[in-house]
Amino acid sequence: MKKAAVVLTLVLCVVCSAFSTDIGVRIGHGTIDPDFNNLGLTALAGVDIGLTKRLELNIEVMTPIVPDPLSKAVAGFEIGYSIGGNRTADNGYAGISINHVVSLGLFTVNLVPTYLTLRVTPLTIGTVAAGRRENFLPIGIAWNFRDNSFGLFISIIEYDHYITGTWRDYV
Amino acid sequence: MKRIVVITAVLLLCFSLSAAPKVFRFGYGINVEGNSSARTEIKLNFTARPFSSNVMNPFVRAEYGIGMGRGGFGLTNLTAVAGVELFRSMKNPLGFTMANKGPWSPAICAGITTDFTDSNLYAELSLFRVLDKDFIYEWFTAFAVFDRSGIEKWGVCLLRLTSMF
Repeated sequence: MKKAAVVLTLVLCVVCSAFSTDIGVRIGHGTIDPDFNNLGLTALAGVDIGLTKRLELNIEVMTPIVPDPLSKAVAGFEIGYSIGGNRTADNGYAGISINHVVSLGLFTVNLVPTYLTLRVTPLTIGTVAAGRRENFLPIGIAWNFRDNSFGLFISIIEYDHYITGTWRDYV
Repeated sequence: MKRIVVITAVLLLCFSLSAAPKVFRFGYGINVEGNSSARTEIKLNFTARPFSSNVMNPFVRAEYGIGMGRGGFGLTNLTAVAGVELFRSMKNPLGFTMANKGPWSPAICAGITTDFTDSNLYAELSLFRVLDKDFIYEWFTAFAVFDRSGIEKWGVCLLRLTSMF
């Protein structure tokens, strides 16, 4: 199962990158696992891959950083849809700079698939074209299908820094 | 004649002062931080930075918020600090994170943190700190709280975002 999760993630990364409209990195405050409430500050790092003008794939890893760094790892992916308008656009026009995102995800705990998630990011400020986007207060519900329990999770902020698909591609 | 000259001089002075570049002296924002007590704290911060010097620019800041983790949910300590921005350099190693490249400006500060019954010393080093026109972004700021026997706890502020006005 662990091997399948790693292979699936790698395949997703490679295939989606090949067809991506943009690629960025994500860093921020990450929560999903209820244990994180007792493990101190948890951070998130990941990759954003633009699939279409509205769809994006986020591959993320979350882990405690204070006081016991890397004591647990939650990793997985989310498919996000921008409901406020195009997150990116072509013909030299930027996308909507104030947006909202709904995401569906599958996350593993120590590489064992454990959570299905539904998350809403009520406010994103920034665009792919600008090279950065800030995601404020993403809140969601996680279904732990191992023990059939539900939990709410909320992050404070996640920051996206885009590498391709930005204004830099036009100069 | 003399009166006209004086009035003109006063007007010129007023206009040139009002046309001076805007200095954003006050700020408010939010922190997300964790400490060695395995608690995550989310705080509001209020900042005053009266000057705009490129070297050793002083500021004061107060923070208060909510915490969660081991020990449950509750209010955090009130922290009040005074510090300096060591320098501002356009050779900004974090410039790639900004849409409009601004200066890199590490800062150090020290002060007091209190739960209103007991107070301890607080010290902080903010290396990954960049200035935008009216924002301050600080990543991975390290801090420590000292009691009489030494370091009581330590932690990292993942992000402090301050909007200046």
